Amino acid sequence: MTACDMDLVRDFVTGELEGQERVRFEQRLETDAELAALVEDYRAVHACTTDLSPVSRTEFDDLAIDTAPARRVTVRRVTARRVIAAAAVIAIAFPVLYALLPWRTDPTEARPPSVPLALAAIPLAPVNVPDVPAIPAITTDYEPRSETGLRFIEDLPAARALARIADRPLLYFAHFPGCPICASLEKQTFPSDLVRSAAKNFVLVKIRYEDAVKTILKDVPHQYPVFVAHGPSGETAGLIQGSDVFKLGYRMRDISLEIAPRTGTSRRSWTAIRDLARRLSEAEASVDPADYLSRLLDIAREDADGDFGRRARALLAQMKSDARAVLFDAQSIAANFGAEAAAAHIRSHGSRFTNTPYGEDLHRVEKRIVRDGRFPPLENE
Amino acid sequence: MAAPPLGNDRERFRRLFLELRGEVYRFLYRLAGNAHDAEDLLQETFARLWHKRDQYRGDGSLAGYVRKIAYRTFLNARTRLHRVRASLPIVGELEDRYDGPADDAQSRDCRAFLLRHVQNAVRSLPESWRQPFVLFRYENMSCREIAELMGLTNKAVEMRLRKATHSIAAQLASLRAEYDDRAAR
Repeated sequence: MTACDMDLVRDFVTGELEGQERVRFEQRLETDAELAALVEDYRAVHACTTDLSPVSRTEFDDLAIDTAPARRVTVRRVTARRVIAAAAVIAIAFPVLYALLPWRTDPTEARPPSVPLALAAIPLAPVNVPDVPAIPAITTDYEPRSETGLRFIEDLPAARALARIADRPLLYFAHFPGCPICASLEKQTFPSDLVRSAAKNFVLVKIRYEDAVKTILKDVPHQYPVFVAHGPSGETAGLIQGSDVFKLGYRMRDISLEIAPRTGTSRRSWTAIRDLARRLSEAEASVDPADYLSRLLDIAREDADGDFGRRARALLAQMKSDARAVLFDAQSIAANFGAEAAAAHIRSHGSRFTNTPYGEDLHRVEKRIVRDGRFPPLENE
Repeated sequence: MAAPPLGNDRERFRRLFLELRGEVYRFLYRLAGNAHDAEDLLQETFARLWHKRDQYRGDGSLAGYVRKIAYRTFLNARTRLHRVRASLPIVGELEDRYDGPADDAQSRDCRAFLLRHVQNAVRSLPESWRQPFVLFRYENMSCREIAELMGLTNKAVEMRLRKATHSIAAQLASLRAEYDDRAAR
């Protein structure tokens, strides 16, 4: 019977393929790239999956086999008097035993080692941690209008991230440092109420003119000074030339009206954006695990569909994943270094989850390890 | 009526148990993924073997017959076992890279790191790939034997083994790069 290719691959890797069969297989490897790749993959897998299974502790007497002949059970007639007497004994004994037995606060403590410990928060299955970038720091205090005029950002990646979070278009101001026209704009045009009012609908970016002509103004006919508006996908939404207050103010207003908000009919205010950004920043900086968890949960609930909520959920998933990692590392350590080492591992790494449901799960696992001298079987509630 | 090959003698059955216990336990351990379930399944397997001893007619190897019973015992208990899935501790290669038990926290950290990720690579396989892979890699069964045991075609077993191999190899490639970086720190 012809062996399948996987059998040949295994025998080849382990050196058991010999003689003519080996020669034929090597000839195949020279022309069959897919087979050659399979051999390399299996070689790596074989080397890294050496298994040392533990020895069974089951003794023959543990087996539930009964070789004795079956007994014939006869039913005796029991008198009513005996039934009543038995019921009376039970009725008296039960309340006495109930009163005397020490009640445990944790009923699971009474369970034998083979009964799985139910985890309330830490999942046994791997946690999917979404890759959500951090909110740029500028979000905590950005306001397009300054006390005297407008506030521009010069960090382009931060500005783009902020524009996405705030659901606002970008308005680039291409400038020359030291240019007298720019100075005039700063003094007279930007402080006007019309321009400042229109500016609240944008994220304002200042870009050097020589960089702008290579990027946002490339092949775009224009006159200086020039402002370029970009929509959410980076598409050019408008070009404003000159320093006239009315032209700049009304054109900014028109452009912002042409670009609809991503969701709903209105955009979140800058005050609300800054407030959420600050709360998220405070949450991320919190060193108290319970406080960290609570703050993130609040943000995730309040901003369910927004970037702050997404970031909060990603951080929550990471916390859950970290707790799970502590648990499974303890399991590996218990298998290889013993129960005491596993319990110590949980104590030292579990402090990151104190007063959270994850911390409670870890604490209960640690208690079971100490009680039973081994890592307990686990299940999720 | 002729006595069944396994007989009715408890002492004889005990010797059989002692002879096959290790092999069957390792088989069940690799399938179930943890010692507790493997212990339970081992007991169930031999209890079942005793109660069905008259069904073995002596055709085929006894070890193969016991393994079939063990596999069916595992399949029947799978729903219960799925709630508690721990992982295979895989330590062979790690002990090749260290001279002895690690004394420092960094070495323990690297070891725990590798243990977690290598076992995750096997663990994360879909069940339909993991089972034939475990039987192929650790029980040294051929594709044909696995196909017969699992009720699949040879081709189906081969496809699953290939997919499992490629999947673990890809994960190990990135694991090695990360491990070497950790060990160098």
